[in-house]
Amino acid sequence: MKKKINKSTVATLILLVVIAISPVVVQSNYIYSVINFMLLYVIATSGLDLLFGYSGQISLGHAGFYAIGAYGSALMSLHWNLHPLITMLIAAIIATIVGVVLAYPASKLKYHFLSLCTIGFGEIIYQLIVNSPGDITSGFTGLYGIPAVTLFGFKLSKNISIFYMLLIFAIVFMFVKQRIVHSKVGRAFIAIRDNTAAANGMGIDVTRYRVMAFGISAFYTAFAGALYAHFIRFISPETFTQEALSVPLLTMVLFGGLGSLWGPVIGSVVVTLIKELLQATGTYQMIIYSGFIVIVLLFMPRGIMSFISGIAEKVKMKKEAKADVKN
Amino acid sequence: MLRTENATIRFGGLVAVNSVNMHIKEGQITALIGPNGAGKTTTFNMISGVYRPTEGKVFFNGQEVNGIPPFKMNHMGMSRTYQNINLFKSMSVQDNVLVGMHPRISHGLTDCILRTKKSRAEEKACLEKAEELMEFVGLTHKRNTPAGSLPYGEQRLLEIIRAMASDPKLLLLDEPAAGMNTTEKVELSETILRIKDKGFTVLLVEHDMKLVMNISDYIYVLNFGTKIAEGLPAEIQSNPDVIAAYLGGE
Ligand SMILES: Nc1ncnc2c1ncn2[C@@H]1O[C@H](COP(=O)(O)OP(=O)(O)OP(=O)(O)O)[C@@H](O)[C@H]1O
Ligand SMILES: [Mg+2]
Repeated sequence: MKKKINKSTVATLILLVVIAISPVVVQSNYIYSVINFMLLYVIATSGLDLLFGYSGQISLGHAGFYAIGAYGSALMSLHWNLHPLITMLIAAIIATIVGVVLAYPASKLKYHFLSLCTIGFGEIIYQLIVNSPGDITSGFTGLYGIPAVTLFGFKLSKNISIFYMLLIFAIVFMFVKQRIVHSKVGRAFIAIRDNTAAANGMGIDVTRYRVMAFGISAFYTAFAGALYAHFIRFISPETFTQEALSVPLLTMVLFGGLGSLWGPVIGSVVVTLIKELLQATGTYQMIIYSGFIVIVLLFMPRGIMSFISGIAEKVKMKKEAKADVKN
Repeated sequence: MLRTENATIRFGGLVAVNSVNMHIKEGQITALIGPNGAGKTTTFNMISGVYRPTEGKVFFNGQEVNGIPPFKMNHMGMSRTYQNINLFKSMSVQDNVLVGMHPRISHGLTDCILRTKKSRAEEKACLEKAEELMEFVGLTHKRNTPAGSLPYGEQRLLEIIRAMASDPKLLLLDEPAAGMNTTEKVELSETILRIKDKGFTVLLVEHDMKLVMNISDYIYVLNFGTKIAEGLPAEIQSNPDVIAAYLGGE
């Protein structure tokens, strides 16, 4: 157990160092824009994974939380002249509260009804952005001139500098996720997912932990949305529909593998890459993309992560079998 | 410790538990027996808060507990196992036991994220206790095995220590010997007696009469939801109503 942790820690460190110094080698602005999107999705899907992968509650409306983060932080920094890092935090906290309020009734619902309920939530937030009271969100025109993050007098407006910020945030969010998973709270989430009746019998307040999972998940996804707003600095409703965001987020988690640290990372990277590579195919982009997703999910129903670990196990077993023959 | 007063559970027209009076004394092993469908599991579900009595009352430690949900009953000092094994299948043996300790852990989400001194101390104490419990039933070497891939008998044992993990005053065991072979059953009898020696009060539902008669201090017999007898093992064994119920029931 100890040895395994050390190995993966070393691997993680090496990976991080490579990523961190890579801008010295790669100088393309475009590539960093793509990587930045991946990092945003890593944060958003890590949160979705805590909800769906660990506590077993589906959400088809996470675009709603992403939107609350993006619009909330954008509006606060535009109107109140607060530092973006502060508005991001406030926006994510607001989303957490919204998540908790939504979860109280929603956590009692069965799977299919929860799907419908969360779609409804995503739609409500979308409609609120399009037709906001007093038109504060500027409808389809969107919000312009969202301030970039400034740190120590240094303005993070280039993709490469934003990359470093997003990388740090992604690591922090993954680290916190890992701490939650390997704690009393994480065990309660998994217990509820595995067997709700028994979790209840063992003294776990099921509603409370389901609500907690929603809140944490909302915080993650909203924070990603807020980072997005200050990275792109222009936001408009099209980004926040269920088709454009909620479904892709869910696809990434399913694709990478539910209930793991690296699943959402792999899912975010691969799905974003596929989308980018398919840009060239123009009209057929969506058809190829959707077909690809369907095929992959059919052949790797438990995601790439468990597909890889499945292969690793088979290889190990073959090795052991060979060793047995030799003896 | 636990008392039921004319406790009744109805499912539509079916009376699954019919005006049952029981009194479970502290420090004893009390058995609840009866033919299939007699209402034993339903009684467990009623006592542990899964069902609210349609009529009558349940008292735990002198307090009326009608309608208190299962997780709160657990906090109050009652834990149980399930007839149709309800383990957390994807979790390891050790984690199943740790989940059992959930109500005894006082630190919250922030402590977990910041890994405060308090959370580390509590986690450490929990791991030590999990170790003891796994040793108690001989599952130490399987600590990392997913609960779902244990053999049947070991799953039953894991259910027992998971329930013991919250240090309940009253432990409800629903057919712990089901699916076990003879050797395992003998070991299980000893384990239940050792549980009693540790100071737990036990309410046991079991079909294996030899096991029940050997370890129980007091026995209640249900048939078609109605209590038909109660008494010491020797009395129950020679009770004509009980014999008739079992012969007629089979
Ligand atoms: N949720 C329910 N809804 C309707 N009927 C139920 C329900 N639970 C149990 N019953 C019925 O109540 C009666 C008592 O069932 P119970 O499971 O308590 O019996 P039991 O004594 O535990 O039997 P066994 O020895 O087979 O486990 C049965 O007739 C059963 O079909
Ligand atoms: Mg039963």
